Order: sequence, then structure tokens, then C-alpha cells
Amino acid sequence: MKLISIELENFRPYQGTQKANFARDPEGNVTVLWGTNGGGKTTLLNAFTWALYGVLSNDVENQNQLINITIWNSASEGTPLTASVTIEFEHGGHFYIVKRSVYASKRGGVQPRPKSELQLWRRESSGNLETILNPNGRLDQMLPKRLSSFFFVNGERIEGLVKHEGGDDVREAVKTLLGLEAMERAVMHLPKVTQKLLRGLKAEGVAQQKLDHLLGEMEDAERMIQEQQRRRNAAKKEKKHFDSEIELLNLKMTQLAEARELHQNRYRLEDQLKRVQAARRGQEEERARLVGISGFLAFLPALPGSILAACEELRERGELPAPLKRAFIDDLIERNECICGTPLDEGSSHRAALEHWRARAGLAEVEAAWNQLGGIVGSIDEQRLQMYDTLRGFGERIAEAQEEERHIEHGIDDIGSKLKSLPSEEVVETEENLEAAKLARDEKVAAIGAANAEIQRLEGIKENLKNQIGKLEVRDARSRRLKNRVVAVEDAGIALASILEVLSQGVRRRLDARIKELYRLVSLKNYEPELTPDFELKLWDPSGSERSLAPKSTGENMLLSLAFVGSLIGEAREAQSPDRAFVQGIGGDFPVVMDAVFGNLDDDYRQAVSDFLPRLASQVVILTSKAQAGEIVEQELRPRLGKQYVITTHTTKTDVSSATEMLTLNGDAYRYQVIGSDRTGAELTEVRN
Amino acid sequence: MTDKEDQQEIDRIQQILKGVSPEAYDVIKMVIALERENLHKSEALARNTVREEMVKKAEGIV
Repeated sequence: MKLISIELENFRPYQGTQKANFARDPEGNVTVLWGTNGGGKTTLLNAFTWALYGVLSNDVENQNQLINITIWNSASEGTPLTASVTIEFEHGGHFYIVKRSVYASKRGGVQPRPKSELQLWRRESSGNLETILNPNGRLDQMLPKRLSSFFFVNGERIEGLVKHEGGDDVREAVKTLLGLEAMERAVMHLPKVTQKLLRGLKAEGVAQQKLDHLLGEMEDAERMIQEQQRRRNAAKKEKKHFDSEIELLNLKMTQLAEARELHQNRYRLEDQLKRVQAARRGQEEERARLVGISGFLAFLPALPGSILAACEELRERGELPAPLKRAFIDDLIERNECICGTPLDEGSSHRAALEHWRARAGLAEVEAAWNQLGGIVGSIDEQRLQMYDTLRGFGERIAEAQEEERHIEHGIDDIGSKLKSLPSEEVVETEENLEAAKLARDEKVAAIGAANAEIQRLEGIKENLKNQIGKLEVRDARSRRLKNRVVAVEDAGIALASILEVLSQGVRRRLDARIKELYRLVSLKNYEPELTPDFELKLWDPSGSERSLAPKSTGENMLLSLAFVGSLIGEAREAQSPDRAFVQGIGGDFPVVMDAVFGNLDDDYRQAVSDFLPRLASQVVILTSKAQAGEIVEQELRPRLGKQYVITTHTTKTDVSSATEMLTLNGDAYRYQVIGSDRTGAELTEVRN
Repeated sequence: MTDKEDQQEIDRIQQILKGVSPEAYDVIKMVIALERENLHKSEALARNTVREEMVKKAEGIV
């Protein structure tokens, strides 16, 4: 998608018709719109999302007041009024025009809740406009609403991606981007489809009653599973919140001089505890494996003796091993004479008797088994004693690890007590908060575990019920077909869930690699970014002996968030390639429109961000104030600037202090803030090259 | 960017798909197409019609 222009007609502060064309040249791919704070920049960003999806961000005040207020107030009662936003763009080799409008008749000072109308046209090569039906659906296919916040970016909020709560947004964005949303919905819907199909089954007499009963129980189990899943998800969300709080408190503790040393010692002990626990769990698993494979030996102390005695008896009776050797009989038949001298002519009864014996004689397997049996049974005692020794070894190592764990835990508790007895109130308060947060987090971990166990138990019940339904005799061919249908739908659900997991982790891996690459190019610090398996964006500091979370920095967080946006754009571009067509994702080249991206950054980061932005996407639109951007941004962006606009802000106020009335760009002066104007509003003026 | 891991991903998906019956494979194609058609609607809005439609379309497969 490439943006060509945006046109605002009486839309909020923009009175009359205001239009901006966007730079599309690969070398000069940046358009900057300069506007004061509160002067219409955020409205312009919202104009994009309103035109495409009919939504305004939550921070927009008076959301119903879409028609320019000056126009509304000056109109006489009953006058029909309108506001609209029109965007022209190119996508997939076609040119489109999207227009969203609101209409209202003036009734009093307050505008009614607006109902908007959306139109979408495709421009034919002849210049004619073809109306596109279902414009909402078509636009959502081109650039899904769920992704819009990553392409129409509010700089003040994008930093939130790096926080824990950002994980959900990132996960959703990734799934939408790859087209996994459809698959995810299908995985969710298929069990319900199975239930619907099962309700159509018919059986005979008593079997029908049983079937109804089983189906009822299965629906109950499904309901309970959903309830447990809901609880688990809520607990996971709360755990994330506590994890985030613990991270913040830990960072705070390392920044408090009185606590730093003790806290770092605690970090070390916690790491050591994790390692010891992992080693102990490893030993426990090995022990369980040994018991699983050789545990039976413990129950056989008398058996080897009994087996050997029984075999000896058979041997003494000549029944084991096989009493006759096959080769011996073969020799007799070949010589045509028995050992007793009886001729063994072809067809004779003597020869037939010997041939009968030959079939039973000297079975190689019996002889081999006999030989093996003696060896195995003889070594059982030895194996048992060896198993006891190994188990004793595991037991000792596990006990040692448990003792070490207790010792470390004691050390950690001790540090906690020392921290709480330090004179600094801030340290004591932080430590108490940390303890409370860890306790609360542990409760949530327990709740997640309990829900998982309950889900597993209920899934077992459901599986059992399903098997019982499967075994019931159904009444007719239709029900038999239905049963086959159920099997196909269930198999499809299982396969889709597996594919979804493979694809989600695959795209996470690719995005992670892209983020690392982009971040390395622009970061001012030696930090390492990571998109975790839970789709959380993390920044690590690898400078210590163990990597730790990097201290929060607005600048680094902004760069990391932008690297994520850049990685999404790169992945979307890559998704166009035909070898990635298994699931139809969102493919194409997308622009980025960014508001307030330089706010709260110091000069180093302003420079880094403005150096990064033109490389982020093939088309970049930046909305910024002169004060936020400063000279550095202008200098950095100048080589890539394709177009510039000034958003002139009009205010009727006359007592505005420190206003910037004129802005000089490319050697020309433009009105920036008009103080004491006859109206309140905004207008766009293109900067001359 | 088809590297070794991308190829492994493709292989795993192919393996999963090889393991399903032709009917289940058709069900997969059917449900993905149906969900995609309804993707612009919210999940809550789409769920009932989509499930009904899936039941009907499954009849044509098995």
C-alpha cells in the first residue's frame, strides 16, 4: 500500500477542504507535517484510521464532534452539514479512493452521534471509478484493522509494546499479519461444530437414552473446560502484571545505593537456586525413568530361583532343550536307513514317522531361548542389586540438592530481612512491595497450575465420553455417515491446531531475527532485543556474567518498538513471495504514519530515530512539532524529505505566551500559530521546495 | 528468506497434512476459506453463522 493523498473536508479542526499529497519517491520517501501541540497532528493521524475503519483513538476528546465546530456553530438551524475524509492510495497495482462521510442537520450546539457512510472506488486505467462492494471487508483484507495501530502509530503509545501488557497486542498483530487469525478462529470453532454434529446422531431405544445422556455429559465437560480456560487466562494475565511489577521493583532496588550490593547477592543466589533446582529435577526425572524401566526387578527376589528350578526339572525329563537335533534326522532320511537298521523308503510309514518328528525336532528358537533364559535369570539378582545402588545414588544426590536449596533459600530470606532492616525507608518499602508482589505472583502460578490440572482431567473425561459415544450402535446410515463426519472434523481440528503452533512460532522466530538486525543498526547501547516465545518484546543487557533486563529507557524502548514495526513491515513484504502462500497473510509494502515520535527523547535518540525512520518503510509520514523535532531531526531527514506541509493553527485567544507565529522552512516563512484569529482550527500549506 | 528453519517448518506442516485423511484435509480447506470470508466481522458476530455453515458444508465432504 502506498498513500497518495489525504483530503479533509470540515473534519474537526480542518475547515473547508484541506489536502496533503505524500512523497512516494524511493529516495525521498519521507513526508513531514509540522504542527504545534494541540494543532491538529493527532487529528490527522486519526483521520486515516477513521476513514479506513471508522475509529478514533481513545485520547480524542468529544468523539461525536466530527463536523468542524466553526462551520457547525455558524450554520443556521436545520442546515444540512457534512464532514469527510478521502484517502487515495495504491495497493497491489490498483489505485483506490476511500471516502468516509458524516451528515447531520444543525440542531442546537451539540452534534448528534454520527453515523458514517463509507465508499470505496477503484480507479480504472481509463480514469473511470468502479465502486467496490463491501468496502469494509475489502479494506480489512488490504490492511486489517488489528494491524492499523502498527502502521498508523502514536509515538506516545507505541512504547507500550515493550511493556508486559504489549504482549497481547504483539501476538495478535503477528497472527493477523500472517493470516493466522482465520486458522485460530477455525481451531476455536471446530469443537463446537463437532458438538453440533453429534447432536444429530440417532440410536435405537435404550441406546438413544444413553446417547442423550453421554452428549449431555460431554457438553457439561466442555462448559467446565471453558470455565477453567477462562480462569487460567485471567490468572495468566494477572501473573504477567505481577511479573512486570517485580521487574520494576527489582530494577528500582538495583538503583538504590544502600540496597544494591545485597540485592545483587540475592540475584546471584536466585540464579544459583534455579540451577540447583533444575539439576535436582533432572535427577528426579532420571530416577523416575529408571523405576519405569527396571522397577519390576524389586518384586522378583524369589522368582529367578523358581524359574531355574522349573527349567532344571524340564531338562532332567529331557523336554528342554528340544530332545532331537534336526540335523540328526536329516542324516537318517538321506541315508534311507534308521539307526535301528529299518529301511526308510519313500512313502513308507517309518519314513513318514521320522518326517513327522523332523518338524518338531530341534527348534532353533527353543534352543536359543533356553540358552538365553539361563543367562538372563541368572543375572536378575545382580541387576536388582545394581538398580538399588543406582537408586541410592539418585536419592543421595537429590537429598544433597534439597539441602543446598534450603541453604540458598535461607540465604535469600536472610537478605530479605537485612534489606528490611536497613535505615532507608525507600528500601524497606520497595522490599515489602517486592515480597508482596512475589507472593501474589506465586498464587497466580498455583492458580494456573490448578486450572491446567483440571483442564487435563476434564479433557480425559471428555475423551472417555467420546469413546463411549463412538462405540454406541447408531440407528441408520445417516448416523453412520455423521459419525465419520465427526471424525473428519475432529482430525481437521487437531491438525489445524498443530499447524497454527508451527506457523506462530515460525513467524515469531523470523520477526525476532529481523528485530535483532534492525535494532543493532540503530541502537545506541549494547543491548540485545528478543521477541520471546510469549510474544513479549524484551531488551536484555548482556554486559554482566548473566544477562539481565536492560534498565528502562524511553529512547531505547522507542527504538525497539520501531524495530518491531519495521520487522512487521519486512515480514509483510516477504509474505508476498509465492513460496509462503500456504496461509494467505497480509502481503505487500506498507507505509508508516507516525505522530509524536520524537516527544520525550533527548538529542541522541532524536538523531537515531530520524536516521532510522526513512529505512523503516518504503513510505514514511511524520507528524511532529518543530519543538519536538528540533534542528537535529530536520538535518537528519533532509536528504530523504520528499514533501513537507505546515499545519497552521488558528486560535481566537490573544493571550498565548511563547507562541511560534512563523516557521521558516527551505528559506520561506510560513504561518505556524495564528494568535487572535477569527476562528479556531487548522489548515494545511505545502512547503515549497 | 527461506532458510533451513523455514524449510523445517514447511516439512513439519507437510507431515501434519500427510497424516490426515482426505476428508479431514477437505474440512481444513473448507473451514479456512469460510473463516477468511468472515474475517472482517468480529468473532462474536461471525461465530454462529460460521459454525452453522461449517456443519452444512461438512455434509458435502463426508
